[in-house]
Amino acid sequence: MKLIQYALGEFAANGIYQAIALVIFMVVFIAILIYAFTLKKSFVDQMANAPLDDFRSLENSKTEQP
Amino acid sequence: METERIHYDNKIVKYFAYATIFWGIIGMVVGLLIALQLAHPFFNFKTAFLTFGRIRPIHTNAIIFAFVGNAIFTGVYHSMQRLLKTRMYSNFLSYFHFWGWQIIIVLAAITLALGFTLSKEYAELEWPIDILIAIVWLVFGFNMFGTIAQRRVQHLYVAIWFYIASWVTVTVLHVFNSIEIPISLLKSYPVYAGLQDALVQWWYGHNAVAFFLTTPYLGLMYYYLPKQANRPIYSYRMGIIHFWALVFIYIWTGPHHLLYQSVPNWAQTLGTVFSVMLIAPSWGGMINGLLTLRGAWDKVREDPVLKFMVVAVTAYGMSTFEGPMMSTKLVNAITHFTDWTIGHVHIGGMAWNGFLTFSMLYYLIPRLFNTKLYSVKWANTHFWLGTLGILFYAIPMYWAAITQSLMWKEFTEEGFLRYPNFMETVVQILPMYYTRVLGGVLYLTGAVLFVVNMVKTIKQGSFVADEVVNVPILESYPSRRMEGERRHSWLERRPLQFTFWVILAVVIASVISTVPFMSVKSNVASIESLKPYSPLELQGRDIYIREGCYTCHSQMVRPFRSETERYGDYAKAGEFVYDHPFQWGSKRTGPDLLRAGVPGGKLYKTAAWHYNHFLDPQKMNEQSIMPAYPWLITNTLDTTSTAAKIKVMKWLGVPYPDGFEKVANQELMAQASQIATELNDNGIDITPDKEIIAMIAYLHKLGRDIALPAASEKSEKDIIPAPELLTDEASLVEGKNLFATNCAACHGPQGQGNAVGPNLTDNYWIHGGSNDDIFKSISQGFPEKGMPAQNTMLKPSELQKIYSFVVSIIGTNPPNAKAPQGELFNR
Repeated sequence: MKLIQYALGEFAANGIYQAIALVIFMVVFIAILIYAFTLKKSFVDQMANAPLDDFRSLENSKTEQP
Repeated sequence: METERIHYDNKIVKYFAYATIFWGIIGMVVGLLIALQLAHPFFNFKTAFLTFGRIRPIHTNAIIFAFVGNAIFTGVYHSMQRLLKTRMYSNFLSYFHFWGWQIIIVLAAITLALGFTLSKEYAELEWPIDILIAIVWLVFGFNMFGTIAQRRVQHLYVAIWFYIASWVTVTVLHVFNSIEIPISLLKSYPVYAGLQDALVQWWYGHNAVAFFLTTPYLGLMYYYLPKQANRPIYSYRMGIIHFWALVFIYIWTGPHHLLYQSVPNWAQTLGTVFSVMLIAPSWGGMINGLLTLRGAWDKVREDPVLKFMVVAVTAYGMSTFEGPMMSTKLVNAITHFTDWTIGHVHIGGMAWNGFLTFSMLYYLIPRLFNTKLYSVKWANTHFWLGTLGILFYAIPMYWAAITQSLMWKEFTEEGFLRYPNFMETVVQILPMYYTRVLGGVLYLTGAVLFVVNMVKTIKQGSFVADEVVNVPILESYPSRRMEGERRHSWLERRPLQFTFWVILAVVIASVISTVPFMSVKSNVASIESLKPYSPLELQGRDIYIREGCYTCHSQMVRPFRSETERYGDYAKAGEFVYDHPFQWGSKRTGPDLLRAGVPGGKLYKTAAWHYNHFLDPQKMNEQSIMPAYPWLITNTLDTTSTAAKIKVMKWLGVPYPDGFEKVANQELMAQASQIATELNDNGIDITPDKEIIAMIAYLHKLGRDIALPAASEKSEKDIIPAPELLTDEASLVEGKNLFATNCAACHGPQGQGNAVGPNLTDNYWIHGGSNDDIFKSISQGFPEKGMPAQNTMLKPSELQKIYSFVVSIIGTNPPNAKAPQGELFNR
């Protein structure tokens, strides 16, 4: 535990945190970009239309008087 | 294509929608009340449960968790059924969730009004309610994931992602920020102290904004905006990037609430950098929302629902630009602790959350009741009232913030604070506080019109409790009725995988931004002279917390000259190690109190001063907007809790000696008697068992242990002989004006004396009546008795004028003069 605390302190002092944070962020961000732009167009269109296809109908929806 | 009939549950949606409207109006009315209280202290009505410090958390909690919370659930329960083509997983869980949440809200309102609070912003509620929140939240999660598991579509639309991420993150935030040790049924201390507590709290506080006020609402935006515009979202790919970038970045930014404060520099930098990065995904989201309306702007002109949405999304963009700017050190130095923060959150609250809620309900209610909106005209009027309300709210706040901040920071050519009296900076911004009230009235009027419109709409329609739709049966996906059959594993796995990635993103960021502080000893230099709170001070501190003093007074002097000159030495991380919870505050409606207990300090006041000030602040300072606290004087201090409090504190690592809890109350009474005696000597009739005694003890503890000894020795050393006595009219008038701002609060406007300071017009003197003595008294003061040293605040030429004025009023015999004190001096 002492060792870990020492290491954490050293990381902070040497700016390693910022470096780690930046690297993690860049990696994740690039991964997201790659993921988003390699999706098939047909899939993306289908997803984008998800809120709109309601199959709203229908016969005799049960109603309640207010 | 084969289809099957399913029933959407509209009743639960209706329940949550009604709760949204009900709590929304309550929250706004309470908001209006606290706006009035800041404009004029009369509106505190000298009643404990109506006083600003207790009402303000009710307003924030009502808006965030009652109004916005219920609106989230309305939208989630409505849109999720439709996006997943299924009824909610369990009726029982839905209604358990609904009633559980409403009970929490009622309990919150009652306990906060009674002063049961943890004082951590947006996490004020005490431990039993925290547990209840956790249970209800888990029920909501269970219901949501159950619904996702029985869905009739293959993939999850991005709105659902936002709902899942919000649920996951709020769970993590709530659990880790609410780790507290109970003392009694309604009182507990957080396990974290000082700097740790601050970091955990703002890791929570920021992300409560992010994952309660923002991501669920983005989910709503991604559903209702395309719905109302009747066209798909501009770019679904951008939605994906928007989502992941937000979820990943938001968590890191908490420390931007603590810039220039007692947290390590690298944490502050982390907060700033990630905040600025947030602009990109946030604006991506705003642009995505607005561009969805491309080619449909003509609709915006006619359709009030779209109008509300456009303003909401635009305000989201503005707020998410403003936020990162406020997270840079340069801007933060000016905006922090001022009304800018208040303006910022109200752009978010009134425009983003409020307007999106209104638009959602304008869309939803007519559909639930199978009718049309009763009056489009009224909705348009509501839109304009609301928009004007926002402007009349926000602009005065920005104006007040800049005015006050610059006044705090202004120095004279000689290097003294231009406005050493905090009051001057408050008086300057009072007109803005009145204008803000007008903004609130406009906004509330619009909301009332909205309610009437909703009632009329509901009356003319008939409620569709179970909406029946035919949806295609998902190929190779077993329907709900085929129980026991194994579902295709990949379908199930995906939401779980997805949730796993969200948790991972949130946890990585949380670990990096909070774990290094979990062992305070290795991070904070200890201050040897710092002593734990005495039992009386601890009780006083809990009264300070109970009354919500932190809502107006910070305890965090930042290392700026303008602050160290005004308040005293800047704050060190090591002086907060016994503070469960921390009391740094986030807004300075009144002065900072970190050094209020340093004898000879700039803010030190005597026990008698505090007594009179709590009883009637306006008597001491006519223009003060602080509420009166007369109940502190009549309430008897509850000492039965002392032993339990000391025990828990010891357990948390505060070094009280063994067995101290047994003798704690004796020590408490001894210290209380001392303070009571001091008050009695000043002609105040009070017994030592009153709450005010504990409060005074706490205020006198603030900063005392680490005060530099030089403060008290100084007055002995630098003696300045009295300057020439001025007798010309102009100088005396100037002296009179200086007297009015610097001395009149304690000595009366004519120097006749009042409850605090002695009469200066008779010829009886406590500290000698020669001209040299009088000048010395003015210039060096008697800080230990509450008379501040004026030479720290005024120029020598100003001192000379005050001194000349004081000498000139001797023997004037004004009305209501105080009885003579001290010895007769023959002039």
